[in-house]
Order: sequence, then C-alpha cells, then structure tokens
Amino acid sequence: MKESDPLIRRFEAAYSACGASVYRLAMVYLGRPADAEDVTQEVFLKLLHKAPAFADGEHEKRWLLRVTANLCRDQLKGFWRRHTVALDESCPVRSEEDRAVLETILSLPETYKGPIHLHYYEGYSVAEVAEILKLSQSAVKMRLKRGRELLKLELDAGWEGSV
Amino acid sequence: MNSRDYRNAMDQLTPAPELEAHIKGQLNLPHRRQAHPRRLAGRVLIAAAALACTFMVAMAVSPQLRAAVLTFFHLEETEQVPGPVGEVPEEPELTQTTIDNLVEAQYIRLPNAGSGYDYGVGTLFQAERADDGTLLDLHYWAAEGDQLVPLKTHTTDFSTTWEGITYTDTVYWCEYEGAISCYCNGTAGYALDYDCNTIAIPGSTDSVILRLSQGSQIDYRQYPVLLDLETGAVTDLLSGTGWEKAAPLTDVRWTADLSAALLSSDRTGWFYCDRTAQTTTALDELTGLEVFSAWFGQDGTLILLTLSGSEGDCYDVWTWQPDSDALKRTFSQLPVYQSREEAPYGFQFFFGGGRGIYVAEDGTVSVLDLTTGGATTVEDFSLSQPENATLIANASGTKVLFADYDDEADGLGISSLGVMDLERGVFTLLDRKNYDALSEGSLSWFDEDRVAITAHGKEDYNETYLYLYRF
Repeated sequence: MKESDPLIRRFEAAYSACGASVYRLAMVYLGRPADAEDVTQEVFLKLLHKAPAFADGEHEKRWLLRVTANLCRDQLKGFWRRHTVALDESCPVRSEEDRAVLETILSLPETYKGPIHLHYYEGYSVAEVAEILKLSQSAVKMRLKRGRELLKLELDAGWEGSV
Repeated sequence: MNSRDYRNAMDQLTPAPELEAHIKGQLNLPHRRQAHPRRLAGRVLIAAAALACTFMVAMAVSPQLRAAVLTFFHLEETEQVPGPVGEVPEEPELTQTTIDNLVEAQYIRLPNAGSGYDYGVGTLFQAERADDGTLLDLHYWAAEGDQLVPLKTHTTDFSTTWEGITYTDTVYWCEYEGAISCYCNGTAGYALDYDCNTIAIPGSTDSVILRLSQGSQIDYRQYPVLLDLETGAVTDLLSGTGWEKAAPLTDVRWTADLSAALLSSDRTGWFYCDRTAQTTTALDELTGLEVFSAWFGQDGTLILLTLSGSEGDCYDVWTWQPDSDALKRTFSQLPVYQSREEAPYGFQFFFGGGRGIYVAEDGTVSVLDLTTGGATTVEDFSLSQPENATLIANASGTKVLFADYDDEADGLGISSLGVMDLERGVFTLLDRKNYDALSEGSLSWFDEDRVAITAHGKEDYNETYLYLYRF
C-alpha cells in the first residue's frame, strides 16, 4: 500500500486528530499501555475497514470514542480482569503526585470512567456524553455526580460542567 | 483533586511514537491477519499448540457421544423488529406476537425512567430515585401472556458489621413462581472502599445471600452472610469453617443448599469449604491438580479447569466428587477460544450449567457436557464468523442462546437470534429485520426459557424497550 493511498491518508488524518484521545480513553478504562495500544489499533482498523461516512471531524471523533469505550468494556468483561485494573508500572509520569491522580482515576468503577473522562477531559456536555456512550442524560448526570464524589473532584471556578 | 489536576495527569498519557507506524503497517494486511502490537511474538507458537490440541479433543470424546446431534431449524419467517414509537408510555406496555408459529415475542415499552430499569429472575423492575440518586422505591412486574402483572414489592432492613464497617441498608424483593428477585442499592459507588449487594438463592424464598465487600482493584475482598427476608437477621455463613486460609476472598460459589462453597482468592487460589464438616481445604491439595478455575455441577460435583498444552493455552476439564474423592478427566487439551486470532476456534466455558461450547476450525459447533464428557454437534450449521457470535447457557444448562451481530449497526445489531434446546435436540434460528431502528444494548437470559434484549431509542435515550423471546 502506497503512502498516497486514500486509506493511508484517511488513517493519518484521523490518527493525527484523534489518536491521542482514543489512547487516553482506553488507558482510563484499561490502565495498561499494551492493552490501550491494542484497542487503539483495533479502533482505527474498524474505522478504515467499515469506512463509515461522517458529517465532519467532530462526528468522526465521537464515533471513534464510542467504539473505544465499547471495545474497552468488552475487554473488561473477562473475569480475570474484574479486579485488576491498575496503572502499569512502566507508564511514564512526571511525578508521584500525577501517578497518584492517575491511580485514583483508574480505581473508579468502570461505569463512571467514560462519563467522567469525556466530560472533564474531552470537554463534552452531558448531552454529548450521553450520545457517545449511548446512555440517557439522567444516567450520565448520575454517573458524573457519583464519579465526582468518588474522585473527590472539585470543580474549577467557571467550569460549566456542573450537573 | 480538581479538574485541572485531572487534565494535567491525563495529558501525560500519550501513545508510543511507533504506534502510528505499526497500525499503518497493519493496513497492508488482509483484515483477518492483523496482529496486535504487543502480541505478535507468541502468535506462531499459539497457532501450533492449538493445532496439536484439536487432535486431542477429538480423541477425548467417545464415538457414541460424538454422534449426538441437534437438529437445525432455520425459520422461514423473519422477525420485523418494532421501531421506536416516539411517545413514552406512563406505564409499561406489552404487545405480543408469534413468529412462524414457533417463537413467541413480547415487546415491552417502558416509561421514561432514565437508567432505572433492569430485570431479575423472570421479573422486570423499575427503580424510583430522588434527584440525588437515592433509591425511593422499586416496582416489579411479571410478563405473563400479553399482560404485565404488577408484583408486590417487599422490603427488608438490615444492619451488620464486617471488618470494622457497619452496613445498614434495605433489600427490595418480590417472590414470583417460587423464585426471589432482589435488589440492594448498596453504597451505589458512593463509597470508594466498601459496598454490598444481594444474591438470590435458587429454591429459597425466605433468605438471600448478602455479599459484603471492601477495597477495590487489588485490595478488593468480600464476605458472604445470609439475610433472613422476614426478620432482617444476618447469619455468618463461614464462621468456624477455617475459611481464613482462603482470605482475602474475591469470589464465592455455593451449592443450592449452601452446604458447601468454593472460595476463591486472586492471591491464594481455590478452596473447598464444607460447612457441615466445618473444613476448608485447598482444591490443589484435595485433587493433586493445579486448579485454574472451579464451579459446581449437579449434585455437589465440582467441575475443575486446569491449564494444559505446551504454552498453557489449553484446558483440561475434570470432575471431582467431594464425598467419594473420585477424580475424572472429561476433556483433554481443549484449545482456549481466542476471538482475536486469525481463524477463531476452540472452547468457551460457561459459568453455570456445566456446559461449554466448542467451535471447530471449520465452524462446526458442539455443546460439551463437562460432567459426562459428552458432546452434541449442531447438524447442518457452522459459524461463518465465529468472532461475531455469542453463545450463553441458561442457569440450568438446558438451553444455549445464540446471537449473531451486524457490525454496521449502532448498537449490538442482533441480526440472528436462536436457542439450542439440548433436551429436545433442536436448534431454532430466527433472522431479524429492522434491528437497527433502535440501539440494542444488552442480550441475556430473562429466565430459564426466555431471552431478553434491551434497547434504547437512537434519538431519545429515555425511550427504553425490553424484548422477550421464547423459542
């Protein structure tokens, strides 16, 4: 396959725009770089093999994040993973404080991870998180509220994501 | 933590620079030949070991049992799955139809209640919550014929203490056809480090198991107690049995009469707890095996899995009788089903019912009886895309649910739905149309006979549907 191939060009554009977002969401769910890389690869291969049509880049990003969340939840159904999501030791972080923050995020029950990350990191509204994760808005609000309490997450002044 | 701390920490999680090039390299390969970034090295070895294992499987099954077959009926009529109705009803509404005179379908539309619906053992329930998520009440219904019949909800308050935490809560429950459906909100995730929930006991209508838990991730541990639904009294189930050898417990499985339990710990392995004899012993010590997983079959018989094969990627299946100490291997070197491999095939086991499924390399499907070593092959049927199919046994292991999916659909997109009835020797398969009009979210057994699909409206996620099928 040549670099000029449309498939390659589509991949490069999508990966450049959304690769890090897909990987981070997979890390939030799975905690291990190897697993997050597997899921990232699978998500982009699905994108290229299914070749769905999108209205714009944002539409494509939401599709990629939804597929990521679904693949991660599938992986977590395996019984050997039920209680073992923790930050991989090999994962590079700047400080022990940051590691502690990441470990707290990873210790969240699975149901809260997606809503919390998409809302507080990716900046999606409750309605958008509901659309991406296929949840009702009331379920997203409930999960954000509980997830926030579990993380003891304080909102920045002016942050409009309060629910 | 504030949201800035969250974002700063997350900013540091970036994919390895070589990942993009690796994925790009995979684009040159046919879809089914793509390797995962970190798993390539073991691939050839796994494939070779799996081939060796397949031969051993054929040898392990006796000729007369291999002759057993399920007759395959592919229904001519296709189900036209109802689409979204738009207006959300004030009370649950049920309509019923029969497809090809063989499959009874019940389509239930549910009132707008966010995510407050679920189902128990043959019952549907709705949680009524305050704005802050506090559980106010629970309403149960049974789906009988073309009617949804409201059931009486009972409550039992309890308070008990384990390892320094006092658990005070209410269990909501109903009794329907000799079975209890129960729900306990627990801490609903509010507390990071402790929770509780309830588990119905098959055949018992006066008590349920209350599972107390503390910690999370690698620190997770649980403890079972018995809750009397009439009085709220809590009874310790493991006291005096020496269960501490297995601590910290991460999983507990019971016989129906609670006379024995399998205690599992992620850290210390599997233990057999005899409540009558007041003993707890490692299964490795009792059987001389290195037990990988264990559960109860019929009449207190244990079904054990051990790892085998040159790469530890096959299972041997054993039965062990606690009373007679009789140990028997029923299957040898079953290759573990690897859904991500190029040509997925192998063995998938069920957590209950003592059954497993074996998908051969040519897509032929057999249901394995793990207790007897018997195998029943599905006649005239093969899985063309095994990685896309689901097979789930009901609680008693008499029926196996089959589903096939449409990758293009927004939700699950269940394009075919079927049930293998092992007692009648029949596999009935129903093709579906219009399944993508709603976003299908889950698939499971509703009770011993009926299959349940839950779905939401694509535009309005508060439109909630429950579809039940009896084959």
